[in-house]
Amino acid sequence: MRIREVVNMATDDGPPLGVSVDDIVASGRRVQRRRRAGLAAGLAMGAVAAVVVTTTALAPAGDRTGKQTTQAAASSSPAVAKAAAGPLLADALEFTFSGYSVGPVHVQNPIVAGNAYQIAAVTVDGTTDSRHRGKVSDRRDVKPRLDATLTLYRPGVYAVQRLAGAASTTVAGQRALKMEHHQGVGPWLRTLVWQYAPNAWAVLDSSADRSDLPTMRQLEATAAALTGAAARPATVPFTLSYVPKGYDVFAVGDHMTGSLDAVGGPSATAYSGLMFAKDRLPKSGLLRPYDNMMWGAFQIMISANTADASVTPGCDSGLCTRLADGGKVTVAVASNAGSLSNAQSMKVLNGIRLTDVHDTGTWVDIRTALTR
Amino acid sequence: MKADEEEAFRQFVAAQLLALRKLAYVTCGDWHLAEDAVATALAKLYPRWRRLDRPDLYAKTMVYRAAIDERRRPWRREQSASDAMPDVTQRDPTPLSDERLRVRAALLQVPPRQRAALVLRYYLGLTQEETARVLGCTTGTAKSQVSRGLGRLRDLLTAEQIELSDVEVWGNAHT
Repeated sequence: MRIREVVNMATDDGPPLGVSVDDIVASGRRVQRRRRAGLAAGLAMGAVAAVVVTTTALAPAGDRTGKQTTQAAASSSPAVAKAAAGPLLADALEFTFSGYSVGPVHVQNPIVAGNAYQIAAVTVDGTTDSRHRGKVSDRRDVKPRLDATLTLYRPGVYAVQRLAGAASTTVAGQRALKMEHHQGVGPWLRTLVWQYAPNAWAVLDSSADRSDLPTMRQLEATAAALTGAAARPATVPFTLSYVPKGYDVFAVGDHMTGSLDAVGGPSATAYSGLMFAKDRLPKSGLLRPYDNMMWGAFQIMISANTADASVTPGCDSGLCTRLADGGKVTVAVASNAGSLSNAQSMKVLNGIRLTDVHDTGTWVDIRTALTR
Repeated sequence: MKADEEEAFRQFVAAQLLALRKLAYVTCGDWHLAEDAVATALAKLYPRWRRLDRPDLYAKTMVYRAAIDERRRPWRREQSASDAMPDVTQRDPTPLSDERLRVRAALLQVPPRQRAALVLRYYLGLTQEETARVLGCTTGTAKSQVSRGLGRLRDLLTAEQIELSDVEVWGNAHT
């Protein structure tokens, strides 16, 4: 059987389309109107705020909050440690909690830091995740799949009022909402949202093959056990001498590249991912981490050049790549939707100077990584 | 948007809608979420239509990312084109062949990113570089995702006494 036949056989009995071209055009017009209105409002706000608001990302690091910062990479310890007591509120591109466990549920150390949130992968004993490797020779050995994350949004960022169909509950005495969804052969989706600090919301998301991985009760217990740790900045294994004018960091992945959603947890071969956006991003109204496609983003990805993932240096389809460290490391700049020309991407690429990707002690605070 | 541009957008949507919905379904395994992902992605494409050299790649990327199941949940469906319409209704259930069920079950046991990589590469005919752009990863990682997905799908189908054609797979591959 051919792959085309496999896909057709798996999808040809889908329901009739419930949306028409006219519906999509009408919706597109609404998006355009909202975008124009938002830009107008943003420009007005920006004129007022420009004097006050300075770029946090890639600005010189300082003791903005009085919190202790460390150079340690959040995911450098593979062990899931018990969370230490401390404040959970974070500044941009900063981690303020550590991994912990509640029974079979394990919250890993956070590996994605954005200018509005921090994200950690969540695992459950006896499951695997989307990035699980290995050959399946016996289906009885296949573990249930689970993709789960914990996201802590900074105050005022999460649009809790826009959630639909949520049931009310409490977590550690704080207001919370919970939602579940399952259809046909699709995944079991669960979300638990709770207020971990004034006007600041945390979200546990899970998507699993089985209905009980994890249960909502387990999610609630996991949420209740969350505590803070000493704040530490996101770090990257490089310095950077060029970023096109107007661009700013909006998310950093520690041992994660690509979508920077923390799903699957840290990878031994994906060292560091960085997303830049051109526009000033809204700091409110989010229901999920930023989608890098929506903001003319470009990405830097540092990963291992392994035998099964080898690359050819050069530029193609908006992806510019070079090899480093004797060919062992791949350095890539990806321009989404043509945000950068190949010449600009190459200039960014050639301005990257690696530290030791294997020694997180040599990694650089993201706020000081730009040396221009 | 000018009238001729909107007409081009309409033609693009009409031509891509079903294929994009398949990409979304194979990625997330849920028709309802798949359609919502496609409608939302195409609506967001509308204001960017004039500025894109490759709207097809952009649309596939948006749909893929929206369909990754941990990122597309009904309670976040705040802006989709299908909000104002009734839920998608499953058509009258007809007996699915045993083989169809086994093929679908096997495909949906392949991890979502690997499934999407397979569809992009071998069903939608993207190059390795284009597949990498849609998946948001390096070309090497995309190759790895395709390779692992193929291996896993072949193993799962073999367990069902269904053979995946090597000739077709490699014959379709771009370098």
